Formats: sequence, structure tokens, C-alpha cells
Amino acid sequence: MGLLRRCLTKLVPVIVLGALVASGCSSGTQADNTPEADAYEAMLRWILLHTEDSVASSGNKPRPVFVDNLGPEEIALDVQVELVVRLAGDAELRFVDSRKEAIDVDSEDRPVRDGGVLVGLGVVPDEPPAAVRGEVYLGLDDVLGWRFPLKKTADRWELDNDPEVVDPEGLVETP
Amino acid sequence: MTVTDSPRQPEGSSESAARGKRFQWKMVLGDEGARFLLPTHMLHSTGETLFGLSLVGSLFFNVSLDAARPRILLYLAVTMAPFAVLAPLIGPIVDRVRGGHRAVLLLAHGGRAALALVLATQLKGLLLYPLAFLVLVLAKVYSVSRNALVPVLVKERDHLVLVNSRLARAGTTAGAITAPIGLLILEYGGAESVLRAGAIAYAVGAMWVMRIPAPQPDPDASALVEETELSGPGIRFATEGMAGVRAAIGFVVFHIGFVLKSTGVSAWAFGGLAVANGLGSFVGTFVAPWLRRVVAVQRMLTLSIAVPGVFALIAALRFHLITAVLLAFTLGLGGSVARRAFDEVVQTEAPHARRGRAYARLETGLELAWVTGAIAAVVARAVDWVGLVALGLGMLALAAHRVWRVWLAVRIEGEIVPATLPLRLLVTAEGVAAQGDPHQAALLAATAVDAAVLAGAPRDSTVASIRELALEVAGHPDAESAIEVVRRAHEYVTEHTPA
Repeated sequence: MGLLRRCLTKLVPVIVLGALVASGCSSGTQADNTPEADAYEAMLRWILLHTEDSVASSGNKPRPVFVDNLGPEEIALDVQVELVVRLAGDAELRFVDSRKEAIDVDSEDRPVRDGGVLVGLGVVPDEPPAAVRGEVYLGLDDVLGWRFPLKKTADRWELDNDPEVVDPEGLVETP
Repeated sequence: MTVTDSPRQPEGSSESAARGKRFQWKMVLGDEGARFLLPTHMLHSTGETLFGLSLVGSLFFNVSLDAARPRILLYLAVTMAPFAVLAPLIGPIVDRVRGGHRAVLLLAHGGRAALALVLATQLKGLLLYPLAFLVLVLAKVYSVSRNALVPVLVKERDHLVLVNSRLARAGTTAGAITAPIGLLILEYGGAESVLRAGAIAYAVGAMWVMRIPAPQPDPDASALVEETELSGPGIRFATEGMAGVRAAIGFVVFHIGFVLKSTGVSAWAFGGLAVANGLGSFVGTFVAPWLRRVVAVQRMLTLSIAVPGVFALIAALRFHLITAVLLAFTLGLGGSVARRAFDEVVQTEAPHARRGRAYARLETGLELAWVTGAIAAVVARAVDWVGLVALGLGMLALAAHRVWRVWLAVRIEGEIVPATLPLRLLVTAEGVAAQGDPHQAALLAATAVDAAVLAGAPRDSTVASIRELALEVAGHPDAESAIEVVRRAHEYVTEHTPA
């Protein structure tokens, strides 16, 4: 009995910690419909559609689409996860911490790794009106930029119109 | 402890056939006591390899590390917490509960099988993080309980080093055989199928766990002697060195993982590093016996720290996949050599320590060192060369500290003369008595007598009288009686223990 009691005493902190982890998990997985993910999904789908030749699948696997943030802050982990899952059939999203993760900086013409593209996404504001910057890097001399007008309906962001073409800024690489 | 309920021989088999069978096991493993641990360990390594491969197709390679870092840190910290209770939990279960050792190993195997199946549905979900870290916790539970179980399963105490070495070799071989099969499954069935295959390996391993015989308590074993032996300076010195190696491995796993991902290498590069580490570990099982013939055991540990430290600095000077692979190889090699040296120190200096509890505490400390190294890497998130310079200098500093301590010991003592435990305890007891604590001295002196009996001294009426008096002193402190215990113990130990 003494041993059992002692073991149970030791188990209590483990159980408590387990419960804490479980609660942490549940809070992490409840991020199913973040408005930010809606906005980014709409932007990414538009960009992928309009750069289709560059992101065409090789064989039965979609080519990688590297994603970087154009704003000062990292795109939240739960938003990243949601986008990876939502676009799984169309693209293999890889969020990067640094440009050299996506661009082969040792190569003279600095191509995107693995034949993919690099997409830059601006910050989605909390409330409308919103015009979010989006850019695509296809190569050293091939960078495109747009400003995406977004509207919010029933807590979901969606594209309001076709985006306006702008000069790229965030993804421009100097040789 | 002795192994008693070894599985029955098939009816009708002759004694010579049974002897032949035992002989074969001895040839394979070096000691037949741990024979059922061999397939269990090989299946565990198979599961580990498949689990590692499946991560190539997981969310880890899709999300940015900076975003994931707080979560990784949280779960690593949470991983540490169970270890604080692991040692006091696993030890008594292995020691006192009949079949407790099986329960712990079964938990590790069964739990990982279940987790692998759940993970197969969550490879692209946020649940990946807590599930992966639960898998990590269970891997550590397995590691602690297996390492605690081997010393109580081996029939010949001198076989501990050999059995651990062969288990390591068998595990690496199983992993190497599994890797190409896993790659084929990954290519044609996806990461989910790899995890399901891993779950099968763990489940079959769990079935083998049930065949491991139950160790029985040794009536002669004295907990006090065990504790004293395991807290001896040689073992503490070796544990510190081993902890340094484990911390370095934990640091490198996360630091190099982060650095490689940020440089955009493919997921297969991580596989290359794992292979290099496994190869180093495998080669280490051959290098260690050779090295042991050339240098002293503590020096083996120092070399196991210094060599990877040098390679960390080389990798810092020019970070490249090749230098990273070399570092992973030398760390695997160092870890393997250090393990053998550590086992030998324990085998030599704690010959009576045969309880899972004592080992579980040592092993838990080593696993905590691994997690601490991993947390340091995640918290620092240093630039490649900065982290590697810190690692290299840290390892070389630890190696230098060990060299200095040995040099100091030799300078003070003239030469290190290994004394038997009873004499060491007696000298300590007399020292404590001289410092004015006769009661503590009496308990130490009685322990010295116990140790002498375990070493073969006669269990006569003197022993009984010393024990009786020591117990009286423990219950009712009395300085005169305490000094009497020390005096009688001195006479007994010096008479029956060779200097």
C-alpha cells in the first residue's frame, strides 16, 4: 500500500502536466477558422492560379511554394498549419524563416530551390478596409507584386476584386 | 538480483541441447540473461527508424521554425518534467513490483504503438507537436528502464559492458536494415504508412517484452552499500562526463536541425545526419574495446567529449553538410564509446549495485542532460557558427576540466590506488568520527561491514553484534556506543578485507 501510495504521489504531477499539455493541445487545434487564414488562402490561390506555369506539378507531387512574410511579424503557427492543410492538394507550402531557405543564393541567377516559387504575404489587418500586399519571386529578374483588396463578410475575409499590380519591394533580390 | 523464471525448455529436450541453446545465446549476446531483451531492443530500434523517417512527411518541414519555436520549447520543457518523477517511479516498479519491469517496458512499447497510429492521422496538424513529444518521453522511459534492467538481467556481473555493447550493435543493425524498407514504404505508401509500420514494430516489441524474465531480489543485496557504491567519486566523475556527451547530442539534434532547415537543404539531409550518427554509434562498439586496451576508462570518456568538440569547431569554421555529417558521426562514435566506458566504471566500482532503482536514477540524470542540451539549442537559436563554437568550446572545456581533475588527483595522492569499498567506507567513517559526528560514523562503519560481507567476509557473530549496536545507535544516539561500532568495524574490516 505504501509503495502504491508513493507511486501515486509521484504520478500526480505527471497527470497534472499531462492535463496541461492536453489543454494546450486543444487550444492549439481549435484554430480551425482563423480570419487571417481565409485572407491568405484567397491570396495564395489567386497567385498560384496566375503563376500556374511556374508552379506546375512535377510528376504526381506538387512543386514547393515557399512562403515568407512581408510584414514585420511572423505569420502565426496555427495560420501556417491551416494553410498547409487547406492547400495540400494544390501546393506544398513551406513557410520559411530566411530567404536563403527558399532561394539558392550560391547560384548566380538565384533560382528558387526545388523548382518552386517564393511567395511573400503582407499583414492582414484586424478590420476592413484591407489592401494586403502579395509578391512572387520566380527568379532574379522575375518578381511580381500585387495589392489585394479584401472584404470581410460574416467574419471571413475574401477577395473583393482582382488585385492591383504594384512594383515588388519585399522580395526583390540584389545580384 | 538473480534471474529465476527463465522460460521453460520444450519438453523432451535434452540437457545438452538446452546447454547448446544457452551457449548460442551467450555467443550472440555475451550473456543469456538478457536474451529476450535483444529482440525487444531490435524491434524498438526498428520502430525508432520508421518514426524518424515518417517525420520527413510531417508538418515539421512545412512551418517556419521561428513560429514553431515557442511550441517546441514548451513541449521540451514539459518533456523535462516527467523525468523529475521518472527515477523514483520506474525504480521501485522495476525492483519491487513483480513484473513491474515488464509493465514499464510495455508502457513504452504499447504507448508508442498507439501514439504512432494517432500520429499517422495528425502529421499535418498541430497535434503533431504534443504527440511527437509524448513519443520522445516514452523513448526516454524506454531508454531509462532498459538501461536499468540490463544490470539486473545479466547472469554474470562482468558481462554488463559486453551485453550493453552488443545490444547497441544489434539495435543499430536493425535500424540500418529497416531504413531502406522504410524509404520504400515512404515513397509508395506515404509517411502515414511508415508510421503504421512503426506501430506494428512497437506492438511486436511489446509482445517480446512479456517474455523477459522477472529479476528476483538478491537477499544479500544491501541498499546502503549500493547507494554508497553508486555515489562513489569514480561513478560521479563518469556520470558528469556522460551527461556532457548526452547534453551535446541533445544540443546538436536541435541546433543542426534548425540551421539545416534555415539553409534550405532537403529533408533527406536530416536522414543523412541520422545515418551518420547511427554509423558512428555502430563503429563505436568496435572502437571502444580497442581503445580500452590503450587508455584508462575515464580517459575514454574524456576522449569521447574532446573529439566531437574538435569536430564541432571544425564545423563552425566552415559549416557545410559534410562537416555536419562528420560532427554527427563523431558524436555517435563518442556517445557509443562513452557508454561503454560508463558501463565499465559502474561495473567495476559498483559491483553490488543490482537494483533498477539505483540505475534508473543515474539514467534519468543522463536523459535530463539530453533535454537540457536540446532546450539550450532552442532557446539560443544561435547562428550556425556561434552555436557550434559554443558547443565545441563547451565540450573542450569539459574535457580539459576532466584532465585537470585527474592530474590534480594524481598530484595529491601520488598515484590513484583503487581501494576496496569496505576499506573506503571505513576510512570515511573514521574521518566522519574525527570530525565529531560519531552517529553518522557508526552507520558508515556498519555499512563497511555489510560491504565486507558482500565481498566474501564471514557472516559471523561479530557482524551480528556490530549490526545490532549500529541499529541501537540509529534509534538512540549515544556517542560511546557509536565509537564502539566504529572500533569493532575497524577490527573486522581490516581483518577480513585485503588492502
